[in-house]
Amino acid sequence: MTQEHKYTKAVAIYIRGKDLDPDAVTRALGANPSFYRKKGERCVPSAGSRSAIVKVGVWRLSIETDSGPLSGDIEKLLSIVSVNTNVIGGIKGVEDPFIDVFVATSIHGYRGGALSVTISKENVSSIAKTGLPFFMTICLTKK
Amino acid sequence: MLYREQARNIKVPINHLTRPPERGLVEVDENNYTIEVSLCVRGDELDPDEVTAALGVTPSSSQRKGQRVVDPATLRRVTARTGEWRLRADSGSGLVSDHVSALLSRISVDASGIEGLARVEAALIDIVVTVPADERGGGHCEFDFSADLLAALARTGLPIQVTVCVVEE
Repeated sequence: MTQEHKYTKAVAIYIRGKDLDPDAVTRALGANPSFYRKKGERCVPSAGSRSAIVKVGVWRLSIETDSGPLSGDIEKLLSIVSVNTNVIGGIKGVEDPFIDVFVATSIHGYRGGALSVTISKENVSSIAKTGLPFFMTICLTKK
Repeated sequence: MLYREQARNIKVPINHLTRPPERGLVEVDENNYTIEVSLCVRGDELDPDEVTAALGVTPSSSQRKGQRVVDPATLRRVTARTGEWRLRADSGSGLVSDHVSALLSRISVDASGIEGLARVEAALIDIVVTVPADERGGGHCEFDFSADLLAALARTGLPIQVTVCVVEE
């Protein structure tokens, strides 16, 4: 990752489902989520917006940092919980589990910019062992 | 998926931030984005012919250190600073995952063996996505890999480098 720019990183395990009970995920994985929503509860989607009824249950465990290597974040996340399709498949209501990586930085050049992110071979192996799909988003914003 | 709390800091379009990820869909407009996925092997003393022989596939490009080559970024002739062997995926798809699949279909051996070759200093799966700048001058790329594709990538034993380039025209 480029060292001259400040960046924001987030790596997460997402588990979603219409009939998902986040408490059941917590019990099955033995780890508290960073965020969860239960179907049917009221929530405010964003600051200033009207409240809404949650339609899909969500359980998310994430690590968010703005320094250090991405590889460390991924290994740390996967060391907190032992996630694999056998464990997750046994949880009632799970429809959409995945690993998510998000990296953002600002760019200063007047003709654009670039950001390189490396996923180590150890990371690739660890993520593959979960048996979950992998999503990645890289975002560059102009200062 | 991007988080709402991060949205306030990075100022990307809110419809993107609030939209749940859709499997199989990458936010790539085939008319505006370019995707290049390749297996890249580097080393100062690299002998490209040795890599070709080991993998049994002809590279899309190769160079030895000190060789006069054309810099693809500037189109100027320069002296190669290191040796390089590169096999590019051949896919017209707008999905990064399709390019990766196409590349892996051409590597018939365990590519981790590449690192065991003499004079190889680095080997990686190189993903480069070039996107046009949006109205704010920034840009983003989003893609996904299925569990099967991840397993195939893991079998190569290689790291993945993802580079996103935002270009203002």
